[in-house]
Amino acid sequence: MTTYTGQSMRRMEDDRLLRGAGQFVADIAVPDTLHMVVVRSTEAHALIDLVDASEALALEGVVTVVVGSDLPGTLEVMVRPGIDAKLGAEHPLLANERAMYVGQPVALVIAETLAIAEDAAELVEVRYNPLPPVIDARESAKANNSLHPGLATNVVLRTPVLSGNPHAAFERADRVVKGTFSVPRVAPSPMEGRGCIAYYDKVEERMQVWTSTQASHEIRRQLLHVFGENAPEIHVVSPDVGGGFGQKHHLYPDEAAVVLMAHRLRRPVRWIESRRENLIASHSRGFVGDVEAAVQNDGRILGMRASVFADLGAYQIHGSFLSPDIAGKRMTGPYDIQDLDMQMLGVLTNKPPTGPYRGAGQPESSIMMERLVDRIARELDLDPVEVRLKNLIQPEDFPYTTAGDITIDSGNYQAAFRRALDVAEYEDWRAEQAKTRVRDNGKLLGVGVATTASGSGGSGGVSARSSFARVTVDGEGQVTVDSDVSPHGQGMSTSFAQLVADQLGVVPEVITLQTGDTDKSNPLGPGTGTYASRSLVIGGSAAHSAAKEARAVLESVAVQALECDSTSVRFGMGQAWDVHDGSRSISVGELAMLAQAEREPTASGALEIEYVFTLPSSAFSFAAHVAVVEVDPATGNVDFKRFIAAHDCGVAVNPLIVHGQIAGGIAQGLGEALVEVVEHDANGNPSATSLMDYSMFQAEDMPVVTPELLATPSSLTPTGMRGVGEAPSVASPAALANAVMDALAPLGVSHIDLPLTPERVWKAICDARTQLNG
Amino acid sequence: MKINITINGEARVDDVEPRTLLVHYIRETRRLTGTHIGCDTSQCGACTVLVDGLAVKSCSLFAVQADGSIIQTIEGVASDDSLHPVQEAFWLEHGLQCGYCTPGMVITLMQVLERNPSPSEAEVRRGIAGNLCRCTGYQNIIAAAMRAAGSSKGGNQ
Amino acid sequence: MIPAAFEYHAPKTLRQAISTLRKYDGEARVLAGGMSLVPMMKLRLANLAAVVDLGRIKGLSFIQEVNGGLSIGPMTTHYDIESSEVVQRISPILAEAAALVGDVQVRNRGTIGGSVAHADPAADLPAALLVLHAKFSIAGSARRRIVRADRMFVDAYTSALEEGEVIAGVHVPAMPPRTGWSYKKLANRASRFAIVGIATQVTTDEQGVCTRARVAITGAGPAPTRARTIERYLTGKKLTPLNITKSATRAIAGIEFLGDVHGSPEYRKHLTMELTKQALTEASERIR
Repeated sequence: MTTYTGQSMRRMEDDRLLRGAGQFVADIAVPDTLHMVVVRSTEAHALIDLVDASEALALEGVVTVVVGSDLPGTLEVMVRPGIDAKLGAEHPLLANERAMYVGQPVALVIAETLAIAEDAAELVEVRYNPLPPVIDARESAKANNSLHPGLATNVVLRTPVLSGNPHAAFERADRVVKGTFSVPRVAPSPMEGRGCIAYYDKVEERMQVWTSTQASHEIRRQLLHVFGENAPEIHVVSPDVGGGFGQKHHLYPDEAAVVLMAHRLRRPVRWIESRRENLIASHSRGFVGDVEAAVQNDGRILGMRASVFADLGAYQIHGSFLSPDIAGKRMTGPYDIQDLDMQMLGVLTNKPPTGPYRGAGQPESSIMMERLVDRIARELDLDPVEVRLKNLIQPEDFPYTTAGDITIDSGNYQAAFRRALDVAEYEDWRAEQAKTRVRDNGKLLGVGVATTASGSGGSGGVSARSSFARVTVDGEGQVTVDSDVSPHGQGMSTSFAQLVADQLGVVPEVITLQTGDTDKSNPLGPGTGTYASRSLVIGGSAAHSAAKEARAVLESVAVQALECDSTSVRFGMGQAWDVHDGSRSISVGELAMLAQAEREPTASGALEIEYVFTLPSSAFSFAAHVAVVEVDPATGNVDFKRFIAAHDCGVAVNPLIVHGQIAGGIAQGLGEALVEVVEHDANGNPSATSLMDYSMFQAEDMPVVTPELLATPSSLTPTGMRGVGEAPSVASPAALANAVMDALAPLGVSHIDLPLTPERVWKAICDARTQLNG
Repeated sequence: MKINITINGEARVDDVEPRTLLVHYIRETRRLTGTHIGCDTSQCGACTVLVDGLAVKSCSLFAVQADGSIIQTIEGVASDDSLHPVQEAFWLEHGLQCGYCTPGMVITLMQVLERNPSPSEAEVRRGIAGNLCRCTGYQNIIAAAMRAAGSSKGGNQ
Repeated sequence: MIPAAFEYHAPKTLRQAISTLRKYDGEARVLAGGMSLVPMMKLRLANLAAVVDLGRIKGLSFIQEVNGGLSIGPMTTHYDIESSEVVQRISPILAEAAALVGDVQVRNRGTIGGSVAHADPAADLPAALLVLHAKFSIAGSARRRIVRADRMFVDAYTSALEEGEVIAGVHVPAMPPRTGWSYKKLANRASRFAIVGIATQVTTDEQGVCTRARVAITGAGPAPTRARTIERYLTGKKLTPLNITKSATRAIAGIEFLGDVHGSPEYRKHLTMELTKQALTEASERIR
């Protein structure tokens, strides 16, 4: 019954995107629209003595300038049972009295044209009275007072994990291997920044909102929170979205301000983020941790202790806790380690708030874990592969409950790992290293591996693990699928159609996916959007299940129409027929109409089947990456020789799309390990404010990725799939870091903070040489 | 200022402020929104169009500078019933995900392949140095470029 | 992002351009390819009263062979230079440096005159023009004046151009026989400007003794500059690996190294020596 599922079908959404006919938020033209420009703080920590907008207001075409006292309100903070989060550091829509980070919205200028709004924004005078900023998370955690007057501490989040008896594990260990690892702040940088257009619809008496988001339902809910008691009805649509990667997972102050001001002014308001704003005002990662492992001399890890600080920035936002919580709970990765004492602190600093970014906590934990595993191998003089094989969860151990109390249903980690090693010719590279580590070109050869497990769609409660789908079949046999997840590059129009086509016995081309509209899928139902590798795993499973139910309905009607028994009915190409009498057939459209005649009437008149799918628990996938690099000691530059990525993401719906996700996730992961970083100086100024200074991977930086797919079916999804979006970003930075450190090990270099920029690598080599000679 | 610009075969005279950037003119005045804005400082290439046959970043050009020129944007690349070989190759090789960088990538590759109809992979990578993609890791974009180069007409139609 | 409002002038002659510039008394700037100026205006780092666009002046874009050297119009683009068979033959280092500027789109618009006048401390062309002993013909005063490359790049974003002056031409002398060249740069991964770039041209006599060495450094300090200490050191010596290595350590003399997000002064200092060694080695191998 799987004609389409599992095929590398070309994407159905591509034609209009290739022709430039996509509709991204900035492409939407609403007549009479006002333009909003945000005046942002230039201070990391300061009292705001004065905001003088008089000159700006005097400019012709300026409608209003809004300051903090004009627009009270804060963004919602997500609270989950079991999360120890202190409220009191909510993000205000506009800074009022005090500015807490460079880039924080301080005032809004709204004008008839964008040019006038930008002119006026330059004329808004903000007088700051600077206070000393807090930059370092570790230092901040020690402070006796808080950045926020209502709080006693800067530690606003604690998500500890205590499992088994770590104390005993350390007691009986042959040795303890330690490391301090940092995972720097990065800017997620989707190619399309954020943006929002809103107006008050007098006919429908509600706000119409288009916003570049991964989760329109979530945005609607959070907007209602910001409006408070007298909230209007709000309709949110996410149009085409030019990448999200977690950054567009929640509501932002500027985004909320667009909607509030459009409501207040009763005119359409539009704000399209500049790249500068995107780079300075929203970041991710920013972890530093001391981790140690209790190990036996044979490489077996008995237990772990970790103390990790997550730099949350100046405020808690909706998803602040996600990455720290996930990183803590998934610290042990794919390994069988039951004794764990994990201290995870979320700490305030005078920097922009951090939110989830591709992998959300898992790249953070896997970088620390995988570096530590390599360090164990080095200290015990074992091959890092051997240490991993010794500690990976065994196939017969599934279902396996981790130290973080996550149950992983199934897997075969050894098979995927071995496949990666084989394809990479790992043994040959090691043999070559044994001969000489310095290549003919003077460069140092390094081989690195990483083995990681990453979840899909299940770090929260039932609603986070659920999605809604409605499958509608009309009399023409045209099928519409409404879903509460929405794409920003994942190719859902195609993969959902493949799943549904197989169930309904139609061709994928008759299936249209409708997403991102809070009207078109149940706004009150569960499910919130696309993140956590959940869209196909949960949203796709919902569509699959709805279609399966529809098929059952159609089949029961077909039996009557074809006057045959149910075992004789066949479906395909939009038709149903009697397998014993090919002359008797009926179209799926006709069947739908026959079926609908006997059911509750629907608004469309067509057959409509709704389904809520709840994923029982996170569907973990596994990745093993092997990186072979050459490090040039003269410049510190890192070149790739090979990059192998074996992924077990269960039964793939569309391998072509899976390969695309893998290469894309690796580009982000390698960029993070090699070039990307946002650092703040002592005054809290960011190191990059444009793409002239923030490096993301360019085509020449990217290695050729050799993807290998394995397919251990998940028992948690109806088709056996697991998520794949985040896994490549979880494994790749760790594999690369291990490869570079492997290359440098003979020189006595044991640690370099990420990212491994040429300068940092060169500096580490110099320092090691100095130490050797000193 | 009055400017006369032909886009995708359609000539028009419009009145613009000198500070109007070409990309804003294309998107707002001519309502051709397939040309995107990704970075403001000429790194990302999402705004790439052909001005008199040369690939340029329309965010770093004033519309008045293009007065009298002939421009091709992504909307003018395909015909109604068939895609340009570069577009076709992007589709076959899954060279796009979110599609935001795609118009600029396609236009730049048209230029690259016009100048060098059978490039090496390294030349393709170098050729799209001015176009950033955050989704694909470039792997399938490069595959698409190599495929388009192999097809009968790789360059500008 | 939109620049502050300005008046736009598109003169038809260089003379008109100069008189327009004068009228604004320093509040106007020349627009050539605009690859640096327009982003600066968008970021409102440059708010100008007026822009004088040279794009409508005929005859400013050309590459001519003159007395075995080159005469290049100021509005000639990097692409024109990198793809010119004449430049590749006469001054291959200039073609190479032009090919390493930015990206395809930037090279299609960016001009040699704009690059020189903008005097970005990390630009590629100035390094090549320094080792080529290029001369710039400057229009502005009653008589054209000539400025040598080693007098042109004064400081970061500051050239020897006075208010109201415009580069009217670039002249590159012929490359002597038995000359090898190289341009090596480690590029900033974001913008592709040089963290450090080293251009060199070395000439030897028939015995292999260096008769003339030129080394220019970009990216390292506030302005692209000649490394005269190396040049003096190598002249009269054979270009052996030992001599090249010894000379490279002299590359850092007199440079006030920059530090920024792409490289500390310490790293730039190291790269300057390392890339000098690599460039000299390659250049010596290319001598025919």
